[in-house]
Amino acid sequence: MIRFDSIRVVNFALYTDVALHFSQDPDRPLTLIRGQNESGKTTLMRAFLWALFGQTALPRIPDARHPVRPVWAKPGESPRTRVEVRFRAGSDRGVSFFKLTRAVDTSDNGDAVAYGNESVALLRRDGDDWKEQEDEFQLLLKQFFRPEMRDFYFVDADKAVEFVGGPEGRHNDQMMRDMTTQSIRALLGLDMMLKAKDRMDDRQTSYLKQAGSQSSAAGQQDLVKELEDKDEAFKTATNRLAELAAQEREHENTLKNAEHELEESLSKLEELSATNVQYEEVTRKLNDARLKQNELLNELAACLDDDRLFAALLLPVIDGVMDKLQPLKDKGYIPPSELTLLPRLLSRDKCICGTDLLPGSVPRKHIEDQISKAQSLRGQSQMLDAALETARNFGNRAVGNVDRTWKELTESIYKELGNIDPVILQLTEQQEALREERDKAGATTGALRELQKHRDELRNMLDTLRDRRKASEVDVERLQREVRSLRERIRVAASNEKRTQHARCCAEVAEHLQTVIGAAYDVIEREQVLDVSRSMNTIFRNVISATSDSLFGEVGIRPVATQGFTKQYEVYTMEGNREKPLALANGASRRAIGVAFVLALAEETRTKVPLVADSLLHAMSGAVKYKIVDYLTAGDRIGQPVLFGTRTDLLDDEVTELLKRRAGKTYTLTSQAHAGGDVVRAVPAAKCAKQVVICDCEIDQVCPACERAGDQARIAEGRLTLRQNSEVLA
Amino acid sequence: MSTGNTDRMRTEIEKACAGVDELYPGYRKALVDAALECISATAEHDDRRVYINQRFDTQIQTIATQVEVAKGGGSN
Repeated sequence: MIRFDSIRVVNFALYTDVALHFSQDPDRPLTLIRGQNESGKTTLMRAFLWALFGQTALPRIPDARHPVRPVWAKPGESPRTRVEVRFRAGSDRGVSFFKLTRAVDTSDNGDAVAYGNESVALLRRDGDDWKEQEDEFQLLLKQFFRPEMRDFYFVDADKAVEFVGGPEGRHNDQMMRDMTTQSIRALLGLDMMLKAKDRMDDRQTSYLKQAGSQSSAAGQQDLVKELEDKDEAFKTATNRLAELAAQEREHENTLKNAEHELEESLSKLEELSATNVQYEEVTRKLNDARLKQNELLNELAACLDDDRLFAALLLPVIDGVMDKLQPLKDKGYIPPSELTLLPRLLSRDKCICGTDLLPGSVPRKHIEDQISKAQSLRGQSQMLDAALETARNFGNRAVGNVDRTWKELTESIYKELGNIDPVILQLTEQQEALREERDKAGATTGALRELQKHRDELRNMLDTLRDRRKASEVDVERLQREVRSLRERIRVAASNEKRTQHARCCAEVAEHLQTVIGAAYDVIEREQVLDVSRSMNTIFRNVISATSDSLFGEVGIRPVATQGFTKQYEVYTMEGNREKPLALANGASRRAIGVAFVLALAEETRTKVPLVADSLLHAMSGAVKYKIVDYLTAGDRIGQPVLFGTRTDLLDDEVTELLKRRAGKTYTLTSQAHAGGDVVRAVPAAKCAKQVVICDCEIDQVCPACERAGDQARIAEGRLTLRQNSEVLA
Repeated sequence: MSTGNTDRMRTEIEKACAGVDELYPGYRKALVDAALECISATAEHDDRRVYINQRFDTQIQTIATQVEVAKGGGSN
């Protein structure tokens, strides 16, 4: 529900500052604004349109300087025009009060009028305050006053005629169909259903495109198969890598062992070196010892001439002989040489030593025994004696030629030779042991070479294994990347598939919504258009065609052949059972049919909104006027009727009575400068500062300020009451 | 100035929904509400293409998600 409370017009064309209030009386809902032709009614209605819809809502006015700029403003002046409309909007949640203000500066440089610094504000009443609706201002304004319905809610007879194809003689079927179709769809809300349905179709297409652009399930299966293959290859490569790594570790261990063994061998080689040194040292010592021995032997040899040699050689012989002789001596052997001596001693009976060797005496006997023993051993003793003698001879010869120094020297040499022999023996044994060790070391060197060769082979194998392992690692990493990539692609594909399914589901929902809205639209359109058509015919027959001017028995709305998908509607007329072309309708019939259409639509919209109608009753008979006024103001068909009419339009007494009963507010506009034509084109302010006087005289009243001369005849007849205390509003 | 056709639209849309298979118990009511919301959004925001598409998508996707849940699928 929308109801206008008031309008204030400041510096707008003819108006300096005027405020009109609209009837809020449910028993007298009509607001009547009357005035002679060119008294400012249309200008007031334009102020309304400008406030609600802006400059684009104003029709071009031929010869007018500007539809908004005050006519009295002089060039160089920049008055600010302002129109304020207060209205209330009701809903299930209650009633809200709003104040819409549009203002603009205009300037005139003599050649053209500039329009600028426009401001629009929508305020909602909040207690005693007004709060600006900044964010939802445009939305609310459009919601309250739909631009496409502008010409319908602010209608005049001429505008109503356009619904039936224009004025007589200039009939235009296409214009009639366009306006009829637009009005029906807009007023019944069908256009919104149609747009919603079309938009739903658009959304469905969008979702289907989304579904189509994303990957298919088959593509996902291919990816899964590819992933399985890659996964298998990855596992194989990983196992291969593990094997190679194990082999590498094994070879590393083997190599370590080989290197350890090699190190040990090298250590042994170092030991061999020490042995060699020892061996060389021992050999050197042995050689030295042998050299010394040779030197001693040479020295000994040098000491031994023939005699000394003999002596030296015989001394042992002598010693041996002496050893042999000793037992003989112990047995009492007396050398033969001595045997000659002893008998002589016995013969003398005296020993050399003075002992008496008397016969029978003991010493004598002893000697005699000895001589006896010696004689028994005479053979031996002679030979020994000879040998002894010979030895003595030689010994004497040797001793006789050998001095003490030589002997000592020789003995020293012998002694040294005796000392050096064990040294040589010991060194020889050491040399032999070291040689054995060296021989063994020689075997170790061979093994070392083998070990080095083995180590090198192991190193090569290890290098090969490392290369293969690295290559395998590269393979594994590549496969791993590919597996990850495939998994990501599958994840994306799965996600896409989900989105695809969701998009398909959305497309189905959109299709259902489209179907539902479309079905509802078809029904509502069909039924409501039929309802409008019936209402239109009813209004036409009961309200308008009561006049004999009407040549039509039935009027209505019907769909026509569609242009593409969108249906169109047209007004049709019947005469009897025959269709009569609308083009044949005269001006009065056109106005009547157009008004019937407007009123029918206003009724069928079931909205309680104002209907601001200018000159709706113009050129109609009194009966028709009465029925139209009655139709507009009785009940609640029309939310808030606001009628603009001329004095002539309202002259009928019955109409006057009806207006008195139904008009809660009446304003009379009186022009002070009827200069011909629309008052907007009136003579500028130089001649008259106030172009229009507005008073609150009712339909049957007149005052000195209104309608200038008044109607003395009717006053005299008592049909008009003269007021002296009217309120002059402008 | 809005129309007073909302009640009639609801009635007709409810009738139209009777012919749509119910995918889940609340589907029909969700369709009715969404259809009316979309018509209302069109009336209020028809000149804001992106915004109104978002409003439509919100309605559609809400129902689609409920359908998917009812089917046991789930949604993104």
